[in-house]
Amino acid sequence: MSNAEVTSLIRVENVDTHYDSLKVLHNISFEVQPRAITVIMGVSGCGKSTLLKLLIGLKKPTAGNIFIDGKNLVNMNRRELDAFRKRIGVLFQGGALFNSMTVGENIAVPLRVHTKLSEETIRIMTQLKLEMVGLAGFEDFMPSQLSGGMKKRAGLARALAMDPEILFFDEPSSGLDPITSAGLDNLILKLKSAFGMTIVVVTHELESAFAIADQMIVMDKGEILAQGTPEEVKKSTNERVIQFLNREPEEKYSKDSQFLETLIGKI
Amino acid sequence: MINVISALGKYGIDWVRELGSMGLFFYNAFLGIFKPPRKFYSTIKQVHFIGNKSLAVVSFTAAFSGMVLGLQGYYTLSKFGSEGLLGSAVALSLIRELGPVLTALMVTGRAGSAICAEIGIMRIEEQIEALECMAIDPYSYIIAPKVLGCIIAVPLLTAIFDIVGMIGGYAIGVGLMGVNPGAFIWGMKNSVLNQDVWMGVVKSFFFAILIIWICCYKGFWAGTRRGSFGAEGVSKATTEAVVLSSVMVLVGDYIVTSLML
Repeated sequence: MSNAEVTSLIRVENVDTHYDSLKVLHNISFEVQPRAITVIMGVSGCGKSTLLKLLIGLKKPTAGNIFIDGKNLVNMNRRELDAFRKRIGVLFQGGALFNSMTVGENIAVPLRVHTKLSEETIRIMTQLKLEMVGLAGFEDFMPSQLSGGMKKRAGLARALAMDPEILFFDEPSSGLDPITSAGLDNLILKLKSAFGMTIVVVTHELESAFAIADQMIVMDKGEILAQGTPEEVKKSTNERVIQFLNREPEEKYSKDSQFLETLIGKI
Repeated sequence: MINVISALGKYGIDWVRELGSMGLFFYNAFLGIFKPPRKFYSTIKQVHFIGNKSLAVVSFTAAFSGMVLGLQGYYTLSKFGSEGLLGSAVALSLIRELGPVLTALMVTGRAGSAICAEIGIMRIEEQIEALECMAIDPYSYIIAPKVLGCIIAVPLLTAIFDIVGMIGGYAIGVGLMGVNPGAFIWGMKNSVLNQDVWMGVVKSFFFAILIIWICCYKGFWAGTRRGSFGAEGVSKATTEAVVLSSVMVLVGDYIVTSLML
């Protein structure tokens, strides 16, 4: 067993993924260190959401292995997968709250299913989790009464319900205003420092990524272009990484006339 | 020519794949009934949603179906001078055929479509994935209570349909057309046998399973198939669920009738 196997919590090895004939991920390898924030970045359609689905066991890779604490996620049976999922929390892009339940009931779902706690204890735990994400007093609200940022916080409270070791975030700041987004970044940092959680964030928001990351992975067209600390990624000499970090648009047409030609033909 | 053959082949493969996928869904939903968490309250909720909330529309349909049966039955029977048999004609048509079929069609339109859309929205908003990530089996948590609720509610609704329909038939036959009330009731009592009631009960159970299976299946995979994503996928799934359920109820009705005659 190498040293990396001992220290990393999640180890992804040569993962390939296809959707029918379309190759979405190619030869992806990286490690997630415990009690650190790993940010997976890339433009839309680069395969980062697919990678997240692989990490939480919602999809199986076409080839390659994903080790969680040395156990291969790819070969896990239903029971092992459930045991792994009880150790993680996932915040989906829109919060994924159950619309027919109140916020409090949403957070109580995993507690009611997986524990034999009394209703009174569940109520107190629900309030605690809501307080953690700054939504104290909102337990009787329906998800439809919450704003986008509040929905994400409530979704986070539900993800935290079972006190997970690893937290996964899918685009936490997308669709949020800069202030709410910064608030969520702070919350992610607090979860790491106060509870020692391992956090994996998938995002395309540069500012948020650099604000929280201990380790970064930059992806494009299903491949990893750069990985390392934020400083190391900033120093990358890869053209696509520089283009992504400098927010430069795709230079398909160097002149206006070229662009017009694509619309109306030769002029 | 080759294009036609390949298109036919693709259609065939897709059809078999869909059937296999439906079979797997049924298997998982059935297993889900016996898996934790306990489903007592969630099943009661579904019985309320499918049963109680469909009561008005089912009763309304039943009353008018019974009234039409009274009118048409009287018109036909009077040609043979057998108006006295109106009671048995109305009761037998309702218990053996119209009760189970029309109840199933009304439940499909009112509750089946809503269930399909609800599950479809859960799918496109990643709520089903969220359940899986919480190590909760979505078949056990979402689908099984709906299956149990439908299996309980539809036979009860069918029984109510039969009774309200007979009252409608009586009101028209006796009240409007002047059939002898004694003859009407006597006809009903004499001609309806246990096996007729049994056929109605079997049909209503069968239709309940058919409706909830199709509607839940279509909702569960809404928006995930090629060419239909997001909200459009949900609307497509809901339409497909209602059309397929209605058609399968009528096809299933023929099959059950032919097997039980």
